[in-house]
Amino acid sequence: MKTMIVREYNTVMLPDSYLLDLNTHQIKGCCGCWTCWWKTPGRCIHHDLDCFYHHYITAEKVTFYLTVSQGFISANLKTLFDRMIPLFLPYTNYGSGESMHDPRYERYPDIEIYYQDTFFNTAEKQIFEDYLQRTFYQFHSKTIHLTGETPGVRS
Amino acid sequence: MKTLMLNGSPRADHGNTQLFIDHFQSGLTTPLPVRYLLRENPTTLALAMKEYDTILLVMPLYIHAMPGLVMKLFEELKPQSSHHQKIGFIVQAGFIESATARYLENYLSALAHRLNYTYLGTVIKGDAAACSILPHFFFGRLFKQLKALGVAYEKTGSFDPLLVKKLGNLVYLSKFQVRLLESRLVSRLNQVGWNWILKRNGCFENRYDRPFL
Repeated sequence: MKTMIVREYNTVMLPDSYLLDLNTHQIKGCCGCWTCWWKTPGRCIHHDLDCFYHHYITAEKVTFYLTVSQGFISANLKTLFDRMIPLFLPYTNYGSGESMHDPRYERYPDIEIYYQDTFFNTAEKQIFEDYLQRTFYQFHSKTIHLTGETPGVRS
Repeated sequence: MKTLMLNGSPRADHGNTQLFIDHFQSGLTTPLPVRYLLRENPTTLALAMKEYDTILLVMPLYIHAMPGLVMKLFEELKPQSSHHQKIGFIVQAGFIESATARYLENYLSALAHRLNYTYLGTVIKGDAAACSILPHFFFGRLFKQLKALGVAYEKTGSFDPLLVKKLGNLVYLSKFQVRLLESRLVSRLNQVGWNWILKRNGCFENRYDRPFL
């Protein structure tokens, strides 16, 4: 099975798996130009993620190891998500009852997320989990699993 | 009352977010200072924010949340010792229904609480993607509402709940609206704008490209 790992913690690595280490890789920010939709369809003006795009879209499963930052995902991971719009079309469909961008590719990977559960309270944890579930649902992944590790002390 | 407006768009003063700020400011007798996250060091900006009573952060919705550069600023913010500082947000989104920003709204409310800011609320406006592309007369009503929001803010130091509700409509799509939007005719009409730009840029035939297979 072709897999990929995106990590902010842990040193886990699988043979034949592509690794994006967000501790050492600062993602260039999306500049909101929409070039990836209306000038070079499917391609971003930045090329730092070209390898990531290929491995993401051809992987059967992508595993994330995420830290929590200010009660949410880190800025670097958020930047990665912002830069994932070239993987989708600008056209919108409403079949699910909500607006969603059409897929550009035939299939998208299953998603497995482990995160360091350092939340102050359960409400913050819920916001974090809801957001990640929604994001990968919008990214057309069919299976999304989230697991909190090392629960912190919270009210 | 000393207020700072922040523009959280990666397009700085060239996009829809700036239009939102301009029309909000048109309702004020004294313009508020505006700083652009794109041009600032987040650590320095976080320190500068302490000089103000109120922060109004205006931003686009990116993947159901804030753009990465806004999160960079959030990571630099430290909890206040008291509730004396206030923070409010204005979010402009591309999808029609404002519910797509509910994940962000929940987080912003929690963030204000986490940082000990008094939370003024989040104004969400959907269907705003084309503000800076189409002629402005298409958005006359929106711009009037933003101006009124500015007028009310100057008077009360808060967002007018009625205007927040008006700007937030439509929250969810009704079944009828979904059926209409999914109909072949409306679906094709929705693609007209994108296709026009793709043709103008000479890449219409490549619109379904899959370059990373």
